[in-house]
Amino acid sequence: MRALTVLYDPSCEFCRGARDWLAAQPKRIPVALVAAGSAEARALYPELDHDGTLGQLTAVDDAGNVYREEKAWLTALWATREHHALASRLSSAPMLPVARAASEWIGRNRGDLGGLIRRFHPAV
Amino acid sequence: MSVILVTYLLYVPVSIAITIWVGRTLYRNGYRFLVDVFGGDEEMAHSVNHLLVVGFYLINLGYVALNLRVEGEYYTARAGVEVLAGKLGTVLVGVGLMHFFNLYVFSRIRARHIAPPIPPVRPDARTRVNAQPAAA
Repeated sequence: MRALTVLYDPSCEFCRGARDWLAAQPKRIPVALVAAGSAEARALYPELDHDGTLGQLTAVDDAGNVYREEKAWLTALWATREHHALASRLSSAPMLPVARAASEWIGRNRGDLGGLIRRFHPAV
Repeated sequence: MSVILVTYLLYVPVSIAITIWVGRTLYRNGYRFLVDVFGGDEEMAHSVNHLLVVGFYLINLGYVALNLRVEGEYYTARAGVEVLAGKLGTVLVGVGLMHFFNLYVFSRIRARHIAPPIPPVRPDARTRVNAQPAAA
C-alpha cells in the first residue's frame, strides 16, 4: 500500500474531529481525507457505493482495496507513525472483535461523541 | 582440602566468569542493534540495553548460587571433576537459554519498530481508482 484515502462523513461533528486528528498525525504513507458522497469522492471512485460511505467509515488505498468500519479505522491507524503498532495489535484474532465492537459503538454514538470532541478541541 | 571444596572453588569463579563474558557480549552487540532499532537514539538504546543486561546478570548469578549445592559425599578427584563438569554444564546451558531469550527480546523490539508493508486487515472489496487525491 502506497497511499490511502479516508472518506469521512462531513455532516457529522465527531467525524470532522477525527479527520482533523488524522490530518495532524505524522504518517508513514500519504493519507488523503475526502468528504464522503462528495463530487470529488464520486469522481475518484466511480464504482463505489457512495451512499453507503455516509453511514460507515470507508477507506480506499491506491490499488482500489476498500476497507470498511473497523477495518477502515485500523488501516487509518496503521498509516500513522505513532499508532501503527496499536493497529497491528488490535488486528490480531483475539482483539479484532473488540475493534469491531468499538467501531460499532462509535458509529452508534457519533452524535454524542461530537460534543465530547468540541469540549476538548473548541476549534473543531 | 577436601575434593568438594576444590570443586566449589572452581565452580564459583568459572561460572561467574562465563556469566560476565556472555553478559558483556550481549551488552556490546545488543547496543549497536538497539541504536539501529531506536533510529539512532543512543540514550534510549543505552537505557534499554542496561535494563536487559542487569536482568540477565541477576537471573544467571542467582541460578549459579542456587546450583551450588551438591548432594552426597565425594572423595576422589574423578568424582570431583565429574561433579564440576555437571555443574558447569547446567550453568552453560542455562546461560545459553537466557542468551537466546535475550536475542528473542531484541528481535521482538526490532519487529515492532520496523513497519510492515501491508496493513494488518484484509480489504472488504475492490473498486476502480480514477485518480489518487492529494494527501492532507
